[in-house]
Parts: sequence; structure tokens; C-alpha cells
Amino acid sequence: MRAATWVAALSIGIATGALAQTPRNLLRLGVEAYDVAAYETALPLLTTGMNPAAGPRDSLWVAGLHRLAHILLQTSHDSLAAVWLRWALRQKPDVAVDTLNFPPAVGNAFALAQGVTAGGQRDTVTETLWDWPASPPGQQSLGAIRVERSGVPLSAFVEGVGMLTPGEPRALPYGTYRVLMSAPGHARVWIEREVLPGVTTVVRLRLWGPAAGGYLYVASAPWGRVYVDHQYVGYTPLAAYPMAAGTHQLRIERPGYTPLDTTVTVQRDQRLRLGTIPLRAGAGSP
Amino acid sequence: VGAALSGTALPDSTRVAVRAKPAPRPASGPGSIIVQTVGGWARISIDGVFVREGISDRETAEPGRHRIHLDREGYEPVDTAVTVRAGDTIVVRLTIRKASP
Repeated sequence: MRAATWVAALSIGIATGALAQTPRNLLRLGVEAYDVAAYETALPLLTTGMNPAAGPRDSLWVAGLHRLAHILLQTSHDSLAAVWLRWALRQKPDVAVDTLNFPPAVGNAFALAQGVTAGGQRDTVTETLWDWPASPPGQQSLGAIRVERSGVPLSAFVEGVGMLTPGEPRALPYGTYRVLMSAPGHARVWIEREVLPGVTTVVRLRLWGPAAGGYLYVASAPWGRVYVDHQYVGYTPLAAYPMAAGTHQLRIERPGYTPLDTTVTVQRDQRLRLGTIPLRAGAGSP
Repeated sequence: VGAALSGTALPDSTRVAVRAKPAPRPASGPGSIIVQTVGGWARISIDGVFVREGISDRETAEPGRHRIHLDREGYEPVDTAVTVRAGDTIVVRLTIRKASP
């Protein structure tokens, strides 16, 4: 009797102002609502409570993520579930999938998302924040992305969308987007970021200028994709790529070829020319 | 309490808790069944109809007796039945256990 009464009380509480509670409490309520199969109630609570600024990405956050993914999958919002999972796994790649309490569909969705985000590794070039709505975003499918300048002219291009104006949010359907961020004389970088419904993704570029580093020149035969410190920076040949002084990890990869991994050390004001590096045919990244 | 277990034989490993919403209760209209699984997710069926994979489910149910079935590969199936009264919400918590090798 107590549990059934509690279900009713939960519904009443949500309808009469529980949404004014902290996101952390909403996340907890969302988990509890899911556990009594009140999925329509749970969904807005979970989406509001997942705000990473509201608390640690701990077991409650992971529990909320599983439940959110399961609800979306059950309601045939597979693509939205995928975006949420990619977003979450970029922040917490070591999430252990709960295969005991969630059916294979959830585990499969996690595995797909991990496959997409696994190459993301450490992001040393950008900082990402999220402007989270205080109330549930409802049924809307639009979110937004905004890039922030750091005192220098900044250029940002979203693949398939176009240029972004720094400081101004661009409304976009939820999804995963590739963004090229660059500034004259500074590092440029391709990043992948998620746009969530009702949430504004804010990306800041951590800039370093030529005064603090040098430039990398490298080519390969055949051409390949270049990663510096696990960030995709472009295709070979790469010329005058600005790098902070110090040691960096360099990778050149191409499907069907063995990836080249090495470290390079760039001095201040140095133009480091590595020449043309031959790639060897063999097992490579897909 | 507006619910009763049927005479369905239950495995020893199955624990069933049935609780119902207190009065006032409408004289007519459907009730609800909330199924919660303990020990892991399961395929949940009510009256022979698959309704969901998961650890919980909530269904509107006409007054009367309803059969609940859980199954999952590698686990022992669970069967029980409950009687729903008009306007009642019944919470049924069922434990699912791994089958003996």
C-alpha cells in the first residue's frame, strides 16, 4: 500500500512544483519514477537532471543515463538515445554498462556510442560547457551550439551547416556535429560535439599563439589523417600547423595502412619540418 | 488492500509483494498493474501478451484476474497472477533468478 501511495504522491509533487527543485533532486526523482514505470514522468526529470553542472557524474548520474536511454529506445527515439549516449560518453568514457538490469537494446546502444566516441580521447584544445534549461525542454528537437572567442578573431565552421558567428548561438536539430575551429596564427582543430534538445553546447577554443610555440610541417605518402595530441587537425600535407612549445603526440593514419605514431618536440619559434613520411600498407584504422 | 494473489504455484525463489492504492476507490473503471523485477531485467508479459523488456512496467488493467509472466534467457521463468479491483493500482515485485546450470 505504501508504494502505491508513493507513486501517487510523486505524480502530485511533480505537478505542483517539484520542478523548482535542484537538477540533482530531479535526477533522483527521475530514477525513482522510472523504477515505478512512470516513464512519461521520468523523461523530463532525467533530461533536466543530467545537467553535468548540477553534480558529479557518479552512480546516480549513470543510473539516470541508463534509464533515459532505455525510455528513448522504448519509444522509438533511437537516434536521440544515441546522441545522449555519445554526449555522456565523451564526458565519462568509462561508464560501465549495466547489462544486469537493462536489456540488450540498451547495451547495444552504449556499444554503438562508445564506437563513435572512442577516438575522442583527451581534448586539450577546447573546453565545452552546456547552457542547460532550468525546466524540461519538452518535446522540442532543437538545441543550439555557440562558440566563444578568446580575445582573438575566431573562425568556426560546422560541417553541413556553415559558419558560426562567435558568441551567437546557432539553433540546430539534435545530433552530432563536426566543428572546425581556428584563429589566425593559432591552432586549428576539428572536434565532434553533440547538440541536445533544449541545450546550448558552448565551445571555447584554448588558444596558443606563435609566440608560445612553433610550427609543424609534415607530409605522408600516401596522404593520411593527422592527429596531434589525439585531436584530428587535418590531412597531410600539413604546413605551418601552430603548436605549443613542448612534446606532442603525432599520429598519421589511413585505412589499410599501419598508423604512424611518434612524438615530436617543438621549440619556441621553431619550424619543425618532418618531410614526407611513408605509410606502410597493412592493418590500419577502418 | 484491494488485491489478492491467485492460487498460482510460485517457485520457491520468487518473492511477490502486492500492494494496492487505498480508498477512496471508484466503483468502476480500470485499475493499474505496476510490475517491478528484482535481480535483473526480464521480458514482462501480462495475460500472455508481451509488454516490455526491463525492470518495470505499468499497464492499465480491467478489473479482474491477470496473469503476469517473466522470462529471460538463462533465468528461471516467473509466473503469478493478481486480481485488480476498479481504480486500484497494484505493485507486484517479482524476483528473477538465474537458472541452475
